[in-house]
Amino acid sequence: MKHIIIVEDDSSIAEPMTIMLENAGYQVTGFPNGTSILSNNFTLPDLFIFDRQLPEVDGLDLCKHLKNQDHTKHIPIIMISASSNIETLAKDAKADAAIEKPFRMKDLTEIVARYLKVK
Amino acid sequence: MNIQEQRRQEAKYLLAAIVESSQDSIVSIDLNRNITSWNKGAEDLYGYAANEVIGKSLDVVMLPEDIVGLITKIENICHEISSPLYDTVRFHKNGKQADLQIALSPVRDASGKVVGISTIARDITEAKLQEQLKDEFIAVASHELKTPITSIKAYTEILVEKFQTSQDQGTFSLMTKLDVQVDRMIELVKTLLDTTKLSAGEVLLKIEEFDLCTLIREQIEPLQLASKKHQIIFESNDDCIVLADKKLIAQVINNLLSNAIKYSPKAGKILVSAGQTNEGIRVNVQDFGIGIPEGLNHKIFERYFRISNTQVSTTPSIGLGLYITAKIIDQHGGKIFVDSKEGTGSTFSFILPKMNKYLSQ
Repeated sequence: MKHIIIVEDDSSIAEPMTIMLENAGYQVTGFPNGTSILSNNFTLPDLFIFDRQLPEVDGLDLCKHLKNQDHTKHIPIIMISASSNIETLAKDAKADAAIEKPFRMKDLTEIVARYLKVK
Repeated sequence: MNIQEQRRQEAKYLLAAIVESSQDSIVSIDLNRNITSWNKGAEDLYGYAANEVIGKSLDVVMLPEDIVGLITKIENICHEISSPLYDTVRFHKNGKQADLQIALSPVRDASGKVVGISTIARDITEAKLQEQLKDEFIAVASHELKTPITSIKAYTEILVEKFQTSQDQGTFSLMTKLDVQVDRMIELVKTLLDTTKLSAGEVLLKIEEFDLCTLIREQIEPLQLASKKHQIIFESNDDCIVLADKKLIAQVINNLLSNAIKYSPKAGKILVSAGQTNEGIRVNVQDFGIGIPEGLNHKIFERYFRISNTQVSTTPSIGLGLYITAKIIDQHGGKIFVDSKEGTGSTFSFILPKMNKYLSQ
């Protein structure tokens, strides 16, 4: 089973996202902030989903951090945000994809499937 | 003095008193822009007393680029071409700038010859500021709606999926209806956000090369599937490769097609065509619907403008679609216009300029 880590502080987004992805057949681990990611205290997943605005560490900084490490740089990262310039910001942070709120869960699961090559 | 002459004199004094006491600035100039009269409103607006400026050039309160524009407008008025209201910036004696709305009209001598221009200026600095505050409010409010609406949509999707496979088809049907309404709300929030971004000039074009005809066909397809009543006919004989922002142009085509369907509830077809012109590639979307009442063609692209019509009163709209459409075309350096007759239908057209024209921008 493919494993996804979600870092999202807003449970009203994290909860349905988790349910949707679990229904689609993924194993999901959620973190409300990025501290565990920064201290490398996690099991390597197949994909990350980061909210941009997070307490303490910005989601984009988390992304840069992982993309600069040899053992994590190959893992796809999807950024989600309400910022209208998230696509550009995500690209600069070397994220693999970005999705702007408001989005449909279907759009997110489609992007996830593209990166995890699930049929 | 006979009675008629006395009445004329009284009317003249009355008019002078109205001009003098008007809060709007009323200034008259000769054809060389030298000031010939300056009322109290002008003194308040520009900070100069009448005796300081009469006989001098109006240029002292104007931006250099505005002077050229005024010369053209004076020429037009001399040729009996009326000048519409326009917004500009002028200087106060203390150097501060004010946003003004200006109306120009001819001053004639006894023989009817234009000998000068009267310029009425109204300070719209406060109105502009209010508009900016309103835009900021809409931007903040719609931005704040993004997260909760994403959450509502997500929970709804989960419930729709859950009931789809259950025995409870009644609830499934209700959930599906809820989902449709949430989608409508998402589109509304997106429209509001687009509006604030486009009016603030915050949209950066992602220019790419693509075939406009293919894009038009792609936009027609889902609308054709959804609208059984209208046959959407597309014709093009030309090569339609353009350099533009594909996503935004798709939005333009979609807006025009959706409007054509929405505002021609009794018609059976919609004609779409694309082709080369001297100015660039022109696209026409013609419907045979309710049309636009006379005199409102120029207002149709304004923000929040809606035609009140009982035939479409149930059609949801906030009067932003065509405003967004026009702004997008404007950002591409293109043109958009409408030819319409009430009761007969409308043809909306836009022209995307030839390649390279705006590529260097």
